[in-house]
Amino acid sequence: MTFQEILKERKFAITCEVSPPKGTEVSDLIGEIGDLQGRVDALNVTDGKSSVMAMTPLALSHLLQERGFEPILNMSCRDRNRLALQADLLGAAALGIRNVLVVTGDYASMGDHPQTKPVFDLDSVQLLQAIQSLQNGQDLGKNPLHGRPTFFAGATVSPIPNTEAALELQLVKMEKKIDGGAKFFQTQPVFDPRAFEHFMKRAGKFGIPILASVLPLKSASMARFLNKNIPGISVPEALIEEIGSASDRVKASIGISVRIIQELKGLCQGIHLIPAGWERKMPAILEAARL
Amino acid sequence: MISLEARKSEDIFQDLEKGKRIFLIGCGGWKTLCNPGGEAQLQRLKGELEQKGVPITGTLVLDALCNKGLDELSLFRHFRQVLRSDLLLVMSCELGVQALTATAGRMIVPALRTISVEGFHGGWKEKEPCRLCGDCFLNLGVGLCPLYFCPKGLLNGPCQGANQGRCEVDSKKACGWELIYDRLKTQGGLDLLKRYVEARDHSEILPLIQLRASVAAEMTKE
Repeated sequence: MTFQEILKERKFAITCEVSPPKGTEVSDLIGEIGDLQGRVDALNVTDGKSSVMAMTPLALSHLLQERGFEPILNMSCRDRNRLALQADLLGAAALGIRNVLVVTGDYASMGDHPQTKPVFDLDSVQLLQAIQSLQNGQDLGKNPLHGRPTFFAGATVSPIPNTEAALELQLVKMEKKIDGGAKFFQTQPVFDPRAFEHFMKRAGKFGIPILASVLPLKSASMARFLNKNIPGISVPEALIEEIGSASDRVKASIGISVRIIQELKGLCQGIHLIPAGWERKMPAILEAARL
Repeated sequence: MISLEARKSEDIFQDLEKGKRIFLIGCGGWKTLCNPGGEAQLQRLKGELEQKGVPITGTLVLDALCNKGLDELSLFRHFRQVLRSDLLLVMSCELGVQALTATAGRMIVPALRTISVEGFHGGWKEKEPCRLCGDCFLNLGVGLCPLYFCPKGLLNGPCQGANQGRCEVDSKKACGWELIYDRLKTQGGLDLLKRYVEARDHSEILPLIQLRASVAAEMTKE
């Protein structure tokens, strides 16, 4: 069953993030995610995550597809103008890639090429509209296409931002993304299912599949780093204590992720795993969460 | 010298929204410094609006809209007409629009676009938050331009990078979209956030490029 079919039939979906390598060697990465075959429904392939230059996700998506995985091609608005974005979308469609996740993209100054010129010719809502237009057989310049693509497009939302304005703006933008053709959402990592429940009370009315992200908490220092530096992420103090005082940190970390997943199960239509280097531990987490 | 051109009529009409009552404000401009058009252009636009059935509550032409004190005084004199209107349609450079929104507390739509500001900048003594994009988006944030206040220039709402209301690019600065949210909330214009804003027309900055080239050519002649 494809990712699209799973969501359409209102089944619980599992996706996992993979980041293309900095370089041409993909065999290590393919090895690390080997055990996820058959365990996850689709793999998100990131697009210059954190503004760090890496292989184009289009190529890795294709390679993963050849190996039996279903990719979700992430497309960021940071690096390409409307010509390049549409060109890559046509290329993706020609390669049989159907799932696309649209993101704005981190600002260039945060990455490893801070001198570059950030593009942001389109924003995420406009890119979704561009996808819709291509599917209708027309590019953004209103020119006809020879062969039109079919996509299953999604977008992201930050469910627990830390100001009232930010939450309201996220909800308004979410609605615009749905109007633009987004058929599913993936969120920022959730550590506090109660806070996520609060968000779902508002976002649930859209009736669109939402996959909550789960990021394994590897250590107390990682939790503090996330709280301090990553917007939209708030790790509760109790969890920091739990991981900090554990004698077996890996076991404790897996336990926390499993608990979060179990609480999220009843709240939304799927989870999105962000392994952050722990690709090989993902099957154990899914096993323990009975997924 | 501030160079101005009219925004496309269809863009203005789209921003005005059907049925909204309009108070039309023009600017006489500073002789030889800018060309907002004054009374003559205002009357022309008024005629065009009336032809399309746009309800107009009144008109006003000020000497220099970039003078906040003058704006305040003049709006006070016309407060009945202003209060009867839903929107102020403003025929001035972006400085005039910003000065007006800082004092008027009303939703606005710019009728002109500022394509170049070289040299003297009218009666505005503050920072000039304008990117000279060749279009004008000051209506989206009632005088706060999303292109200027959001480093990513996002037109349909913020990214997910703000932390405690601070921008991901520079934590010393506020998230532009949260500023816009607060302003829209104060002025009862939150519905404006729902409007889909199409991708920018970058060809609109061509006049600016041509203008700069001609200034450069003049300079090399000397």
